[in-house]
Amino acid sequence: MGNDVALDVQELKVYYYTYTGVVKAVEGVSFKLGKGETLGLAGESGCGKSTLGFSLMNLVPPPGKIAGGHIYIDGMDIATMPESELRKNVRWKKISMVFQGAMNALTPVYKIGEQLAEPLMIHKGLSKEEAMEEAKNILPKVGLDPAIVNRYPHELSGGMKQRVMIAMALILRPDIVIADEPTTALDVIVQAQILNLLKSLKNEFNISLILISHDLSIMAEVVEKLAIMYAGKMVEIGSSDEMFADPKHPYTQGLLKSIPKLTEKGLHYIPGQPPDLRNPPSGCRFADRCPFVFDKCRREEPPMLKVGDTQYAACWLYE
Amino acid sequence: MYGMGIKDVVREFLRFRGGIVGIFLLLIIVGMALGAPLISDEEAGNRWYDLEYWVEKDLPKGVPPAWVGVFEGRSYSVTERFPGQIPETNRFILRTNITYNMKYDVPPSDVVIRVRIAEEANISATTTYFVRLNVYRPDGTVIERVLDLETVNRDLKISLKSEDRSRNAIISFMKDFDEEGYERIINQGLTEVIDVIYILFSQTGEGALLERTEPLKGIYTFELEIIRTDINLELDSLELLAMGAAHGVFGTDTNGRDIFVGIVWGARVALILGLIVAIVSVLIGVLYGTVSAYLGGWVDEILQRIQEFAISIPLLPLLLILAFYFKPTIWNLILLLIVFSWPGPVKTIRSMALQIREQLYITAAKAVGASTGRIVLRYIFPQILPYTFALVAFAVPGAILTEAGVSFLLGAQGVLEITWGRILSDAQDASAVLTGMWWWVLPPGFMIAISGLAFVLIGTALDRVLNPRLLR
Repeated sequence: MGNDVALDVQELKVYYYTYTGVVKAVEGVSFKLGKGETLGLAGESGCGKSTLGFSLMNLVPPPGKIAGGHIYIDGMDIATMPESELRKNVRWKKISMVFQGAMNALTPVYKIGEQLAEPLMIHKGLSKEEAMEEAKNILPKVGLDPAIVNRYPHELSGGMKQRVMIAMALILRPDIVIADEPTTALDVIVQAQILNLLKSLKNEFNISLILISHDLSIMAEVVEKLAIMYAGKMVEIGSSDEMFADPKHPYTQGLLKSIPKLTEKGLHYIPGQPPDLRNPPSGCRFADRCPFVFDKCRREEPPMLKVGDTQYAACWLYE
Repeated sequence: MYGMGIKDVVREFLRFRGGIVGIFLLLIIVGMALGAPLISDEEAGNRWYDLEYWVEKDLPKGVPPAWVGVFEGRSYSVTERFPGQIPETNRFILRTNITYNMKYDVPPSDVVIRVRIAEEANISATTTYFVRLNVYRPDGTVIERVLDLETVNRDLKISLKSEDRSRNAIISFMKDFDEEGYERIINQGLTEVIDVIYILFSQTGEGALLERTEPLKGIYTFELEIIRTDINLELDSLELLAMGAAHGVFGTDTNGRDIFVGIVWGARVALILGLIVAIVSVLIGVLYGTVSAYLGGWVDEILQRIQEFAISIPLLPLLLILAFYFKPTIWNLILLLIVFSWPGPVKTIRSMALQIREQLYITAAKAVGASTGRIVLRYIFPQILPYTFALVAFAVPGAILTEAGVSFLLGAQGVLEITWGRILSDAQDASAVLTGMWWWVLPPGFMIAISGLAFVLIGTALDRVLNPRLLR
């Protein structure tokens, strides 16, 4: 763990204002990310992990908005900062992102080099030639031939595009990189390569990495700290060693049990559906699916309780 | 479609035959516009509306194109000039004979007599002289006193066709051979409308006055007498002009203007106006639609309501009124057309931009820190650009047609440049359709249609190539 805090999120709320009601996608999430630390953010589809990722750059797609809370980077509050200042001082400079589905994150009409050069031209005011030169320099670091600066995105494979996206995220040497499902659309071998690349680059560039994924097995490979989200809430957080060895929250336990194992027959799953986030139930949001549910769970929302050395869980079982 | 190079577009484009035809037609029009000073006299183009200039050019008035004879199997007379000998004499009567060999199936459209008095003549400005003309025809008949007038004019130019005295003299001459026709002319008051020059050159006999009988070929002798009232009055020149019955590529109008000149120079205005209006208004529309879609929310709402208001303004009546008050040059008209035609592509472009702005790479661009302007211009606009070319091609005919409509309806109150619409308007004013002057109506009409067709064909082919939904 780093000795200093790179990112401090306090009581963050992100709502989507849709025609059918307000969807509370992220509801009161708090956590800290140390410098050089790797945090895994896991949970099932729709739990708000990607939304949380976007909100860290204050880039929630409309009709979504940050509805409350604070995000501190270097003492600046990202949640309340005006758009122009975010653009100039924060996005990509302090915090950058490797998007989910790299296939679509590159503009089809520009060459790879031009797209890599874009942040340099916008933020550092480099000329196109200088920016292209720097783009060529960073490509070997992600294992790509510098010659591909003259290629168009459709000429590259999925893995290559993902590497380009990683290069692009690193090109301004930000403090924090969010990797949103960086391996989702890739085959297993390429997945492993990309994960190893992320790991080594994290050390080389000394960045704090937030890895968003639904796949706990890849988390185990990479992250130092793991956070589990459920229905817009963080239900458990702790060092990955502790979390994997001794998960405390019933939801985390269910998730880990759901990973298929060669030695066991049959697939485990958590019965039921996540609640409707337009009007979430009072009390614990996991109550309806929890095997250990009792009265208090339905009445009161559980706070984060310390359950281990580094581990906190939001569950009344540990009161 | 995205990432298609210029070469690919050209190759795909050439697969559509319509596009090739369109390019061919466009090349013809562009050739006309660029080559106007070479193809026709530049001065003629610049002074199209200066009717005195055209009178000086001595072109026959309201005659068909020179090539019609080929199709009809008849020879049309051509314009010929005959200078008359100025007799050296001290007598008051100056007489000269001009012979004209009428060997054509269609006789001249007019005979013009021109008399110039020497300037240095030591005479008073009010000194008059008489001009008389007798015509000796090949069949031995004589038409006497075709002209008989007193004048002070030092540069006299008389068209026999429009001179009352000549008309009456010729009709009276033929009266002896065609009593019945003469009766009808008198009873129905046709003296003013019948073609007396044709009668002058036609065979005598029944029906000669009204039925355009066979022309009489042979040598005509025009006996011209100048009777001076002062012996000091000297002649500078005498001239007889047999005006052709056909002229040029597209004939002439009733003012003696060569319609081909008008068509060629009109191509410039049509192309300049069509292209400028189309390019500028489509670009404005495309940027407007893109910005509206990208910004979204209430900005989008307001921009869309403005666009709907603008597009529902009835263009033509408003243009007519504005064009009338602004005394339009072509540039004023271009400005007005742009002001009213930019909303056209907005809705389509907005719907395309709405799709594009949801793409991940737009979010990525935002995350990278690109400003709104940069995202609109560098990320969304290039995706729409290919389709914009097709839109431009489609917008050109609209602009040309609207200009033609405005020019046609406003006529002399309209634009000051030569436009096909204005030529049509002049034709309408001269009842060209009723009097059978098709060469005055069809060429400008066809040019308007062809220029529209060229761009539509190109636009359709481009659309097929560049619009992803239509390609295969």
